[in-house]
Formats: sequence, C-alpha cells, structure tokens
Amino acid sequence: MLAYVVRRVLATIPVMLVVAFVVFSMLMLAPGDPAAVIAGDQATPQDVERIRQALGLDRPFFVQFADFLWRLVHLDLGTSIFTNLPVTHMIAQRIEPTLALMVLTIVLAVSVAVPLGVVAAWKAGSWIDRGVMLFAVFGFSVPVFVVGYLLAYFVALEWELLPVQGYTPLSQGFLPFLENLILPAIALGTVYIALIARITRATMLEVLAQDYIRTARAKGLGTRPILFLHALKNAAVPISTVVGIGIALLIGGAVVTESVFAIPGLGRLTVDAILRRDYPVIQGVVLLFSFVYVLINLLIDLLYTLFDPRIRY
Amino acid sequence: MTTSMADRLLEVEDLRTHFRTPDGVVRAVDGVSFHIAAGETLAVVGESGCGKSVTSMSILRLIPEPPGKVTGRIMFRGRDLLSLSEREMRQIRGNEISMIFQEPMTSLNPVLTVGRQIRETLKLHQGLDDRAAEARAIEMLDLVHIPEARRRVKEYPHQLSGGMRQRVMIAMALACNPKLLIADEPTTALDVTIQAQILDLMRELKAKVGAAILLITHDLGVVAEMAKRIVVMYAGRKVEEARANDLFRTPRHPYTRGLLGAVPKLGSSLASDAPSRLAEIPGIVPNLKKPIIGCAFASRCTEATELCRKVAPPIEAKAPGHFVACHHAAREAVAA
Repeated sequence: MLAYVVRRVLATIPVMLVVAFVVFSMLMLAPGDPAAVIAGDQATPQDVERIRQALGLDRPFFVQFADFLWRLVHLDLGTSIFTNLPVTHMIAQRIEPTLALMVLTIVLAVSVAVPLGVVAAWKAGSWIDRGVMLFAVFGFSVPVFVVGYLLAYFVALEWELLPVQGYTPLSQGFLPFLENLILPAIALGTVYIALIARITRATMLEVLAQDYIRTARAKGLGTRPILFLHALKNAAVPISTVVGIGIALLIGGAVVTESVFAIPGLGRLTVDAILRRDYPVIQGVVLLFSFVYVLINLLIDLLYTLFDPRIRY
Repeated sequence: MTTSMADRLLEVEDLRTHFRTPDGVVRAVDGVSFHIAAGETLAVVGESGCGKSVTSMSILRLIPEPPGKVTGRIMFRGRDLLSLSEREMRQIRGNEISMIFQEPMTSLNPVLTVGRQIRETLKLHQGLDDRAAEARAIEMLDLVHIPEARRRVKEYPHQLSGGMRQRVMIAMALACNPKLLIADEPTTALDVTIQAQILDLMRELKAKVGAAILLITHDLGVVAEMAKRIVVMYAGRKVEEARANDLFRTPRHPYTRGLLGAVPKLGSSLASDAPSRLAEIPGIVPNLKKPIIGCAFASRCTEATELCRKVAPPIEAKAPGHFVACHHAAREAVAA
C-alpha cells in the first residue's frame, strides 16, 4: 500500500510538468506582448526592447521554460507585473476565501447530493425521483451567476436572512464566516449537486439490481442498512470519481461566484490578472488550481482501496 | 407421506404471483399449492421460467410490489405471511426462513468481509454483540467445513472460490437456526464435484439444525439425492406432486415423463426402446402474458386432445399421495 502511495505521488510529477509546460507556452503564444504592456503607450520600440531583455523574454523558449521550472521548484512564481509583489504572496493573501468556499461547497454538495441520489434510485419512477432528476436538469442548465444573483436577491435582499456580499475570515468567528459563505456555496454547488446526484442515482440503480442486494433483503435487513451500507459502499467508487472530476467545475465556478458575491478570493485575483495581462499571476493561479485538482484526484484514487477491497495495486 | 395439518410448517395455498408489464400481466405463478412438514425436504422442479424461483421469492415476500402482485395464502407456523407487515416480515427473513441462491459468485456483497455479512444476521435477529457474533460466525464457518475459519472471516468474497462462497451463504443462512431453508438452485452454478460436496453439506446440516428445506431446482439428479417429496411445476402451475420414489418410478404427467427422459443416464437407458440420443420435449413454454386456456402443456404434449386444449385439468389424487393435473393421467397409469 505504501509503495503504491509513493508510486502514485511520483506519478503526479510528470502530470504537473505537462501542466507547467502548457501553462507556460499558452501565455507565450497568447496575443499581446507583456513588455509592450508594461512599457505603456508612450514607449519607444527601444524601451520595449529594454524591458523585454530585463524580463528575459528575448531568450529562447526552452531556456525561459527551464528558468520558469527552476523557480517553480523553489516555490517562486515570479513577480506581478502590475503590483510588483511576489505572486506567491498575492496568492497567499487571497487563498483563504477560495479554499473555504470550495471546501464548504464540496461538503454541502456531497452531503446533499448523495442522499438525494440514493433516495431517487430507491424510489425510481416515483415523484421523489422525478423531482431529483428535474432539479438535476435545472442545476445543469442554469448558470452559476443566475443562481447566485437569485439567491442574493431573494434570501439576502428581500428576506434579509443572510448577508448579500463580502467575506468574513474564519478568524473572526465561525458563524459570521458561515453566514457569508453559505449563499455562494449553494450557488456554486448547484451544478455540482446535480452532477453527483445523477451519478449516484445511476450507479445505485445498477447496484440495487445486484444479487447481493437480494441476499441482504433475504437476511431481513431494513431499508437503511441496505441502501447506505450494502449498496452505497458498492457505488462509492464511481461517485467519488465524479466528485473528483467535478472539482474542475468548482474551480471555474469559483471565479464567477466570487465576482457575484464580492469575495476577495483567487477567482477575483484571476479575473483582474487576466484583464491586466499580468502573466506571472495568471500562470501562478492556473498552476495552483491544476495542482489542487491533481492532488484531490490522487486522494480519491487512494480512497478507492478503502471502498472496494478488490482494488489492489 | 401423510402429514396432519398440525405438522405442516409451511402451507402454500393457491399462490398467484402476477407481474404487471407494459405488454400485459405476466402470470409467473398461477395458483400453486403445496406444503412442507417440519424437517422435511420438498423439491420443486421445472425448467427455467416455470415460476419456481418466483414461488420461493414470493414466500419470503421479496417480490417487488408493484409491479408484482402476490395473492393466495402462505401459512407459516400459524401466520399468513402475506398478511404481515414489512417489519414483521423482516423478523422472519434470515431468522425463521432463510434463503440461499443460485449464484454464489454474486450473492455475497463484494465490499464487505464474509465475517461482517454473517455477523450482521446474528446481530439483527439474535441481538448478539460484536464479539459474540464474531465467535458464532467462526463457529458457523467451521460448521460448513471452511478451513481456517478464524482467518477466513476477515476475507472478502473475491478471495474465496465458488464452492467456498456457497458454503458461506449456507453458514449465513443457518446462523440463526431457521425452521425453513429455501435453496434456490444451490448447486447449479458449481462444478460437479463441488455440487456433491454442497449437497452432502446440506444433508448433514439439515440433520444437525433440523430445518426443513424447500429445494428449488431443475436438476433431477439433485432431487433424487435430496428430497422425499417432489412438486413439478410447468408454466406457473403445479402439474404433479408425489413422493420421490413414486415420481421416478411412475411419472404420471406427460411433462414429468418428458423431464425424466431429458436426463442423461450413464449405462442403462430408461426403457428398452429408448433412443440413444437424449429425449427432448418439443416446443417451447407458452407465453405467460396471455391467460392459458386449458392445460398449459397441451401445445407441447404428444397426447393432448381437444379436451386438454379447452379445459384446464384439475389437480387430482391418482394414487395415494400422488397428485396429477392431467386429463389422461389415469389412463396412462394403467398403461404403465
């Protein structure tokens, strides 16, 4: 098992290398010249050339990439062109709200979507099932910002149940922290809930038709242990796979959600950086998101062995 | 074998299990009656789709309703199982009546240890704590002759062979000392040598535990070894019921004769003029989606007459303890 974990962790290195390469070359190939941007409108071609040399942008592609990697290994993501602050520093300042939003969304989504999917499969064809599936279609089709604005309008503005916007750090108390995050988490989680609920339902339908479920019923077990132990444990591998893959949805959605609810997180940082063509910041954030994505999926791969003893490496 | 009403552990009366499907109602079981005495082994025989498995599932009320609909009476120790609530039924399943299935490879939950799956029943029905249940689980595995039971309880089904898994199923089924064990094709999916071992085991444990067995099978070889009394089913109906000896010696229903003719024999053949190749029953089982008028077997029967096609033959005693549903059974018996 330990050997497997080590092997899997090492296997993420080439993945990250490819990610780094793509991120790096994407920005090299993108239209617009960072040197020209920094130099401003009044700059002469000589000025631009000087800045280009100062940034090392005149060097061959692979030399620049090697330099990029070398700094990456030392956790140096470069310096923002716009603020002149180290990118790592800027990320560190903005990471808490985003991390909190994502964790809360995942917890919320899994704890809502899995029971919904289980019940829908158990009562397949009933109005509960139809309701869950209708919600899933709704969740897939309505964009995050629409859900976000609707929630903000009704729950926060009309009914005044929760704050409209903003973020309160965890250090200022759990309840205010939660009050500010709950609406964004629901908005961001809607599509994620829809995805997980659908997969849970489909997998559970398949599992519930298996012979061992009949055996469990013949033993006199009640509905709850059959659904949530005998069946759900068998359905756990596909469900957790989708939970992992769905993180990508959350990352994309977090950018929008943070804009809607004015949360000072990485999403806002990314949008601002893109608008300013602040390449080092864009690179840093994209790399971080990719790293989180790879890491979570690695964890889920390791979880498989807990769910299904037949999976051995 | 004449048993008084009081000895009857299970009495199934006019059991009908129908399924509503988009193409019409499927009459999987259509008016079947039989009984089992305490400690007795009764075999229900018939080809695939004759309703024998549905019968066993109906007894434990494992038929999903809807689309299924089970009517009739299933008297078990003085109570009609069809009138019990789901909660009351759960107290009977796995406790007083337990069941083993055809597919040992898929009937155990692959993600739970066999120990856990046995313990579960014991904790549920006997109120044992973890430690006592664990001890009893090991004891049960010993009882079904699984070597190194102490180690095996911690293993998962995929680590066991098919025969071993069926032993685990038997251990699980017998853990709570049931009064009735329903064995639905318990050996069909196993190798011949393993089949014999499992049958031996069932006979041995039956003597030890004293459970009655309802053996569902299409394998007449298995029946001959296990059962004293046999019910033959065809297209959801009972066509013949007799003691095993009588049935094998003088099968009175043409379908039963067909079944016996379809069994491969080593060396001797059934009759002097028997062809060297295996006899088969011509035709196919009738469509259960339409009400069957007359005898269900008429379309495949070489002896069918106009009467057979119009009037369903009632099940009647043609000899002591020998019941047959055939208009021509008496005549045949004389000829035989």
